[in-house]
Amino acid sequence: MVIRWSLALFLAALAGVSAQQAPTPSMASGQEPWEVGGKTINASIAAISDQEVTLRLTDGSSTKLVLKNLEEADQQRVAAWQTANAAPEGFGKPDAVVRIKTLQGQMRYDLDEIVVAPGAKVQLIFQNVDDMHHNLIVCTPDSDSGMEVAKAAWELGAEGFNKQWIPDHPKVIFASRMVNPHSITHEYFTAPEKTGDYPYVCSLPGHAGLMNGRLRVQTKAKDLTELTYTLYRGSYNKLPDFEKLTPEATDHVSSGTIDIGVTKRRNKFALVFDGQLNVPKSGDYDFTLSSDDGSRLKIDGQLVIDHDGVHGRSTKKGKATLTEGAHPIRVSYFERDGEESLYLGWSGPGFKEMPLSASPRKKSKRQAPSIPLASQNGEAKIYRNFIQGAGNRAIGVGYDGGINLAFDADQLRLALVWIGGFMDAGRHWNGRGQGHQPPLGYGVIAGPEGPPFAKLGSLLDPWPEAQQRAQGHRFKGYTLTGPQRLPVFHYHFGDIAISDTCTPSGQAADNSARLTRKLTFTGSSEDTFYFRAASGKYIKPLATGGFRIADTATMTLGTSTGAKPVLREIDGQWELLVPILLINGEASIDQQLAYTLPNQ
Amino acid sequence: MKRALLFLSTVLSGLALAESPKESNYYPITTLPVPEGVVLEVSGIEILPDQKIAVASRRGDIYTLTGAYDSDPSKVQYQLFAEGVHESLGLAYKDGWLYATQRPEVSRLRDSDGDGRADVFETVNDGWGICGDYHEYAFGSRHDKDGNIWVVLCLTGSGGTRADYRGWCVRVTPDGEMIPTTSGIRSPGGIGANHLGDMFYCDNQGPWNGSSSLKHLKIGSFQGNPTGNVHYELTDAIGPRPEDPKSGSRIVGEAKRIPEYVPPACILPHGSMGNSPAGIACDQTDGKFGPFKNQLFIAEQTASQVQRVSLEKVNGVYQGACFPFLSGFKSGNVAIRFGENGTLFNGGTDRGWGSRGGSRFALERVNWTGETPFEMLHVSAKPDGFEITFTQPADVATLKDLASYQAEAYTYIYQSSYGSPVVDKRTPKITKAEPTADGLSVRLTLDQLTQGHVHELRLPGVKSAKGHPVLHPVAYYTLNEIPGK
Repeated sequence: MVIRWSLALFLAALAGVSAQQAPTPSMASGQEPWEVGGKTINASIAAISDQEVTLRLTDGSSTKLVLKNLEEADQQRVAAWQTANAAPEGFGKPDAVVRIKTLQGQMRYDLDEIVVAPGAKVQLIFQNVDDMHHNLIVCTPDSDSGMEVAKAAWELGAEGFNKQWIPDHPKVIFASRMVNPHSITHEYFTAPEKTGDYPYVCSLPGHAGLMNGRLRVQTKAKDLTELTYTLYRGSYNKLPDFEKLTPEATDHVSSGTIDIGVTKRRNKFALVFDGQLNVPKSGDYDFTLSSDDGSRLKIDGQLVIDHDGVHGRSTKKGKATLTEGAHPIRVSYFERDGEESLYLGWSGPGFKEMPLSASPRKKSKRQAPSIPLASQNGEAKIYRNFIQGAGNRAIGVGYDGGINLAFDADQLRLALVWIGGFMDAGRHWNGRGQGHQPPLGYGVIAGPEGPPFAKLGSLLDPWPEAQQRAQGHRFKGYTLTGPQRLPVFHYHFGDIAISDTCTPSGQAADNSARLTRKLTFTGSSEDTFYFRAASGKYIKPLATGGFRIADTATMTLGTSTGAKPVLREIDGQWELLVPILLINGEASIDQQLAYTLPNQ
Repeated sequence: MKRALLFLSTVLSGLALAESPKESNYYPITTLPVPEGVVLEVSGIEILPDQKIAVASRRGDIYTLTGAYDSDPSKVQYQLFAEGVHESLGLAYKDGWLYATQRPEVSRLRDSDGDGRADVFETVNDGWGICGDYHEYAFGSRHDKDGNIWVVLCLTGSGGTRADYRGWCVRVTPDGEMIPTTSGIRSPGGIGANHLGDMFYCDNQGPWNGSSSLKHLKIGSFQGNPTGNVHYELTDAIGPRPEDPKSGSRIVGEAKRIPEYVPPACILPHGSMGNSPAGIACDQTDGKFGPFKNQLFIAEQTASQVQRVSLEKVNGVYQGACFPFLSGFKSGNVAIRFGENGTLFNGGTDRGWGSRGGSRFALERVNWTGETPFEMLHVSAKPDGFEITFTQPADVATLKDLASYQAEAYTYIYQSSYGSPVVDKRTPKITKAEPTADGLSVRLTLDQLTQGHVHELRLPGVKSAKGHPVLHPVAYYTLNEIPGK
């Protein structure tokens, strides 16, 4: 069973493809009109459970709907999805449930490896969170890591889309349907009887080089016997003392594998698995425990791995020296909310890592390789990109000496200053580069959010709130000056032209890092306006005339007119405002930021 | 006897192989070296005075190259002109300034002290919104005759619009104003003008794009994806919001119903003509690149190819044919630009998408050898068929033979779902083939033409006067309009 055309066509019919048009092979849960809150929205099924369906809307947002409250047409849609994603007749209960996802913007699966037993009946829950179509084809071990199949798919040409990029190729063992962006499909296949590594790829043109992994088929002894589970309900932040709790349910685990699927609960629960671990021969054994949230492994009543606490999926390892024969084993686990998973594997004399749990081992996400950037040859390094805390039009500047800043060209504000490492470009220079990257260094000081300049009727007036773009401000770019190529930012506030130069001095390494900023104003305004130099819960004047603006930094401010800065408290926030009045069309402000951070 | 026959057939097939023309006989690709340690994910190319070219990389570097035209490619020299630019996808040179369309703005860069490095980075306009999604690309054109740079703004993600003017084309004027110009854009891959100065862009298969296509950016038009139409609230520059298209419809019907909707000038059938069209270059080399005067060349990212498009206007609407042109580039082509002496520069990267070429990035050039390939030059629509012209005289006998041709017509579903299969297939019959005596053109009469359909014309039997097959014997003609008699 490679493709289930009949079901796909059935789905197409339900999706409202009218009779006058040619029937089309519909992809797994494409965009369809749903009735939500009295409105029709185009959405696809992104996830589905017994109680609710998660829809992904065309604008990128998601909404969850309770199944039993759905409009009739939507209920039919869910029913159609369930029919199209049900196990084929006679498939029976799956031996293994494999959840695999694409990673958005990275052209990758989240699993590098899936481990199943020979001939296992596998339910593959394949969620595509990317912005384009993907599929998953399991190929024979001799298929050049699946590339032979991927190349054959490419040759389908115009027919590729219609065939969901599944080539008629002898090295295809199983092919999933092509899954729409932000959609989910359930697929079913029987693993090969022969042990070995079976590569899987996405066969859409150009994808296989990056989107690949291997299905490892390996024999598994009856490692666990007499396995039972005990279920507890409650919201835990760490593993509770189970002795003091009343279990909600307890039962034998017929599959003989540790599986959090024994309960349908997905949040606010805990499970304890007890059984006998059958050790094939005396020796040292390594255990791997991955979970989201906390878990613990005990053998013979002895703690082997403690992986307690609320956390995302992460892995801890442990060792035990065991004698041949049965040993009592206990795995405790809890899930508060969000994603949930539990994996336990072991390896020992004569065998590589094998799972003791139902969920296959999920490799931790391969991090994008780090690409640290730094000032070179004494020159400032510029990095324009999405910088966390400095917005979407951020301009990072890494100075010689280890002080750095990020200018926010949306709000025309000095958004961040920090010391140490400048930026890691790994996020943006690998894959498609999704998301905002935080500074690489430490001692991050965030400047005030919102517009940097304002005209206030009186000093009792609140500072104008941040808009998406600073109103009345316009960014004009920057020039690089001097041998250090220091950027001077240029922008306008109304008809006042502002140039903004930061000059670094000192060294982050010996705690002498300073940033001296000069703002010069040119224009014809005769009104006083204000520059907001700092804001926060904590600003204190210092005897020296400066201000402590953070635990780690002080600021001094001077003006060409001699006007003094004003420290005010408004709604529990301290603000440091500098009045500016142009004289003969000119004014300037000197602002110095000094780190008083202990050496790191 | 058997042995003799076998021998003969071996000789014949050997001869055929030796004579079978290849793309590289006419248009060899030369890969330009990239200095050790430089990651040149080419995203923009521009021609500079003094035989220099500028090359932008997705990582934010802009290099100026000397020696890029040299017959010895190893002579190319790189000068780092600028760095830290936000993924520039469009370079344009004018009056001593290098304009760079970055994700957040159109900027212009200048080297004011003559050290070869830009020190002025002036923001010309940053009037559109951006929310930090990787998909929000901004592709910028060269200056039009009024000095405007046209920018096509990709949607947020595959099908959202979370910031101002995502899904629009805007013009940035010489005095730094932004004029909203068209709505309806999904995921552009490049932008460029034809020889008349009309602006085009490539939009990629996805929601409301059954297949990728080349589209004409007619001022005031709606380009087909309604996601960004919420931004009509921001401007009255192009009138009121048009009616939304109906999902599950066909382009031809919606183009009749929605007056602002300009159908794709040329559909690039998904899978056949690559998967992600990108940059556009118009051959205005006065024959230095061969016979394809004023035609458009399209960089194809996934398939590492360059495609060719010949357009005409029928009833005021652009339409025409695309042809495979050249394959075998090293990476995913993104930027494409004609330089001096008919040199066609190509560059790109496979980062984030993969490409057939397999290299992470490449900068290449194509030169015409001076030998003209036997190709279809133009396909033009007629009231009852097509006229095909050739670059060289064809064997008239093969032109006359109806068995030399195959035709198929089809379209795609115009829908909110991602992409579309090929639908509504028809197989028109070629009833007449009337060549001109010089063998340079043939007039085909078909028993049916379907408005809105891609008409795929194959010429497996047509031979040149010298006996060669057509180098690329297929044309995909998008029949938006059927000309009147």
